[in-house]
Amino acid sequence: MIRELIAAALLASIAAGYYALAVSIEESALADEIGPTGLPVVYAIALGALAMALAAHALVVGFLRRAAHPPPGGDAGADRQTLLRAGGMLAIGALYLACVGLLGYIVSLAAVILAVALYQGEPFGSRIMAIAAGGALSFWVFFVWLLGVEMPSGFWPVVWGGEWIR
Amino acid sequence: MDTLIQGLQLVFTTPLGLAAIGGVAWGILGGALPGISPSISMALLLPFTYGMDPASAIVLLAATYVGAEYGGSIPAILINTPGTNAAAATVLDGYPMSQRGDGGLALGISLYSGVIGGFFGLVMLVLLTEPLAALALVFTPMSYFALGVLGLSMIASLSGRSILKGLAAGLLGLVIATVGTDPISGVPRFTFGQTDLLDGVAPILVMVGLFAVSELLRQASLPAWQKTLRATARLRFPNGPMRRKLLRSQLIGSLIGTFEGVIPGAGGTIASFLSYNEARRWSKDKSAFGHGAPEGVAAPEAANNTVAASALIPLLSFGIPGSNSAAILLGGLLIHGLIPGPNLFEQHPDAVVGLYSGLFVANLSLLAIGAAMLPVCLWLVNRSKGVLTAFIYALIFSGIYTINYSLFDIGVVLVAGAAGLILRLIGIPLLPVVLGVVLGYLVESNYRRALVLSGGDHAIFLEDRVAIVLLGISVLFVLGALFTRTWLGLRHGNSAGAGREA
Repeated sequence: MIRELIAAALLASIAAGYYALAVSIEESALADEIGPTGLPVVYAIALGALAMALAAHALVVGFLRRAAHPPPGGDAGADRQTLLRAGGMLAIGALYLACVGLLGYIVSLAAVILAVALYQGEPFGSRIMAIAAGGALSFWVFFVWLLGVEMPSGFWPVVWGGEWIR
Repeated sequence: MDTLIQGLQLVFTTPLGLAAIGGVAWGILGGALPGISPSISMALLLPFTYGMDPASAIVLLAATYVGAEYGGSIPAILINTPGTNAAAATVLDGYPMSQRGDGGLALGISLYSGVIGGFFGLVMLVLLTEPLAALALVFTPMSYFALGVLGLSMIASLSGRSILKGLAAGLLGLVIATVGTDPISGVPRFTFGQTDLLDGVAPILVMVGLFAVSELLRQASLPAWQKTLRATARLRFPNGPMRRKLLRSQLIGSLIGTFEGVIPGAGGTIASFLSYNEARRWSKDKSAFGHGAPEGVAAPEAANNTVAASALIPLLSFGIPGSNSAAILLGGLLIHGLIPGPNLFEQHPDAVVGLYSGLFVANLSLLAIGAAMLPVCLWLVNRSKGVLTAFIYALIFSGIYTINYSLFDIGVVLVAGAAGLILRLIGIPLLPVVLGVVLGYLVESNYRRALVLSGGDHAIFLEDRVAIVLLGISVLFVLGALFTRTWLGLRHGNSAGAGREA
């Protein structure tokens, strides 16, 4: 029941925020009768209605089940653990985005491989550092050399008088 | 016959054959890794298809689907861990076979049955797609709007356990699709001043984020999978008497796979379990099931690979994907400007024939590639989960950057991944979200086009016969699914209560 109520609250929040943004979209002389706000407003109202229906369903079913027999233990702890662990992975991704322009593709990608592997429980040592370095180099060979994709170079070319590709 | 000759010419004169073989190999590798579904394997390839010719790109993705459906059976048989959801039924008899020393035979039956199912599905695809697509020639803007609504309703009703959540998921997808520039007036919507969002959120970013990244995030808190012993895994194909014995279960799997693949939202998992049950029902030796019955491996594996082709039937005919993986394929089609429907057969017949030929090559080569790749798959499954996760994460960052050379896209994928994880945790299915993003433009533009034609009168939707039928089916589908689930839920509650009283 808790999970359903959280889902309903989340959907209702999205619906409310989306509605507020939808009604503030600027009007246009080129618009048709529906306009740019028409369907977004409909979607927001429909989403809000579904959120309320989901909440009502969760409360009714939860009440009936509680009356019939005690509810089993929830797995809120497992969900919290999942979210926390996922947060770490997302933080690594965000750091990559923050650093790749400065440090360049190879160094940043090697750092990502190393960070994720350590985060997933790999022991720190020369082996994992070699895997990270080799992996980043392999990706560079595949994407930059083979496919010709211009990945961010970082500040390194400036060191030898080249162009800084962001 | 002309189509066959044209197809063979395409395979031998273009990169199609290589794309098919490459896709199968990649799919087997991806499917063999627990947690990497066929859709994720395909999503990871999407950025690389930008620079390819349309036919090769589509064949690469479709062949990946074929390979992954077999690849998922490798860990299912050897380490009791399905590599894909659809291989979960293969565990029931595949792992017991492996435990008694017949792991190689189980793998051989899986591969052989997968090829049989794949060819069956391909024949169905060729026979059914074009006649169904011809129906869409009479479609008006009202009909296309109704078709979009029908597709979303069907998938929302069949995906996940709750219809309310399924419908909410579809709406979330439609909401995401409104980001960008209004299709009629050109006014920016929900862009927050970001020029990167003026073109909207590309479906490929949503697909990779929701399917691939959210799965990696979910896997971050799970323990590593069990390792396997190479010595127990030498492939053995079934002999003549065994092949005859497996025919019935393979036919059952292929027929059920065709039916389930055509129904949007059903997919390979339902097909594999249904096939398993029916193969057991019609078997002369029911008691062997669950203890290492070869038919228990043959039926679900035939079903899986049939679905890999039959799920393309509603996709190519109407643009409605029959599964997560077909949704990725839809993304691939749209990237290359190939709009599913009857126009696809008229304007891009080479792409369609190329797809058929590519799937033919993919299924044919599956036997050889499946056998050859087994040692590689075993090596991969025995790598540490941390290193594999790191490499897949790095592959996603690199692949997504190649689309628009934009770090903003990587940010969007990470946000979509986080959103996908939250949606998974609160039980909201992902396929309707993806479909909403893909169909959002079709739904809105045709709705508004229809109202422009009628001068703002909504009665135009009731005057179009095709639209009214499709909208009626949508309503019936949702109400019927709601009624069925409510009735089943009440029945389950009553029988549980009766059991306790006894």
